Amino acid sequence: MPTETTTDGTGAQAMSARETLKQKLGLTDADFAKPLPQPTAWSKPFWDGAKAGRLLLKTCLSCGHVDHPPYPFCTACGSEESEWRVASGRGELQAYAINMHSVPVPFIEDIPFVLALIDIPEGPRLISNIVDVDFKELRKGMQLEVVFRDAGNGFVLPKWRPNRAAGA
Amino acid sequence: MAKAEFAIIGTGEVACGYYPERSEFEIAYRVAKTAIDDAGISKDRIGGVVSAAHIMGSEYNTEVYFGRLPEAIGARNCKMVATTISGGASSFSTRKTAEGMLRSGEVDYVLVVHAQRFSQFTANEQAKFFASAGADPEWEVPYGMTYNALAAMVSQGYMSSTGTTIEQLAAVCVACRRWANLQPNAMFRDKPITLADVLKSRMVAYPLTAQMCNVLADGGSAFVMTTADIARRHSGKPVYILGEGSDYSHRSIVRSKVRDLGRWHEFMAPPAHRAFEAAGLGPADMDIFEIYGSYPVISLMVMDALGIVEPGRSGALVEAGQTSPGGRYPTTTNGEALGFGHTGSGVGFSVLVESVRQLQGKAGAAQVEGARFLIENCGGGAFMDIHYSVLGNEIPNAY
Repeated sequence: MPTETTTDGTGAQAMSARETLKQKLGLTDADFAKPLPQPTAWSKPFWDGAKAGRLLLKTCLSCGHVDHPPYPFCTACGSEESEWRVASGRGELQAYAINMHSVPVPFIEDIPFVLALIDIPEGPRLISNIVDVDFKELRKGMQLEVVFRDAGNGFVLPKWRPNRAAGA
Repeated sequence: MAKAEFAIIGTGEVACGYYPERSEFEIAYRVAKTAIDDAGISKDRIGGVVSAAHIMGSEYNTEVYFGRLPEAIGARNCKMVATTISGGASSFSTRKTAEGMLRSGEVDYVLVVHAQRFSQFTANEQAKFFASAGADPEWEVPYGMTYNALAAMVSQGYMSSTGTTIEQLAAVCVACRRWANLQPNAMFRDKPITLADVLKSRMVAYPLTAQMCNVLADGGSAFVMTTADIARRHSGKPVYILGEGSDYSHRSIVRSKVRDLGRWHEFMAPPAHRAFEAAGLGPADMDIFEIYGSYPVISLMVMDALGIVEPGRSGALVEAGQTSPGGRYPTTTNGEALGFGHTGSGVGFSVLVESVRQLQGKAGAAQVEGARFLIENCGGGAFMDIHYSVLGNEIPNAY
């Protein structure tokens, strides 16, 4: 089990690490730009919701199926009638990985970081990051709660952290 | 009783590895010529040419669907060309396209070709491509999701659910490498590894180390298909397709048909059973298990699905050396992605081509003596699907 390394976070250190990478790999600052969602007509409400600090899920008005990722029509019954409902914000860890090396350039400065497969009580499962966590705590069944983290350029990404109140 | 409709009668392959000076065209022409020669037919008898697409794009793709291959190899009686692609499942989908051509009655022999040169792209371009190919661009890539992280997550879930150990995952890499060491065209033919090497290599995506993740490589292979009726009259060594089974699960793992990562055999076993049933054979009749897993955890899941071991116990089988050269269950005799090399959509081709070689008795140092029947599989996407075929160098009418 790797232990979490705390990055210093001072601008000077981050810059020098990046400059070293740029020289070593022949990169520019543009290569470090984080990939952001490119919302579609049927996914935009999700990202608008995240920006407002709400986790929204596309719910079919015909059969009640909750689709994530969302598609234009309900993937269960085909209905085009749906609404976006606010989720509970609770989740349960199913499986995880810790990216430590060989990540795309925009994420090099973030390693190590956790990718997780998370089940939410509304039905869907999600891929997201778990933040504010001691890696040694990670285990199947860990209770999580949603947090919203600014990703720049007008995007907010829902992420997850241990839900201490729920016994994580 | 099996009713084989189609057969493969020849194969071609080039060395897999880092060969930046060898273009994808050169690969395609070479493997095509070798496969036709191996089939023992004249190039003038090739009636259709099917190619898999070159991953990450290439002028090759346009050239191929504009008919370059028949012209270049002098297949002057070629009547039809097509490009078919379903990622790692392309050895299956190109074969289906070839079968459609043969079924048309217009052609008797179809050449199927794969060629890939990853070395024309920078490491950063490849990392970017395989991040967004292995993960959903809108819902996963912004979180730093990668192919390796996906495999790592699936491995972690599988291990926690089944009790499989990291040493057992590493043992899959060692077994694949031991087979690859017997293969003249394998990327890692001259590089043996030990369990300790695998476990001690750099941690890439916990719990997976670098040696548990495959390496992209240049390579290619080809095969010639015909109908079983023509193959029966063929003077060479036809390999018959005796039974098949397929299923599709998802684009993103969040929508996988079977949710419990310890129970993916529930998704993978039914199509394997259908393949066995169509062939009129069972797992006990198989002399070889040509498994394409790409990552060790998927190889174990496929083994869990084949009925040779209790689901969740495949790791112990591998750890005991049962799938290695000389073992009771020879498995993945070319070492596939982990040992032979990962040529994009070509890993399934290399596994299929090796399957044919084994059943023709042409597998050299890796030959499993007297092999008559085997099951092989491929799959693409982010573990999106699985396709099995049971192959044999005879049609088991006597069963």
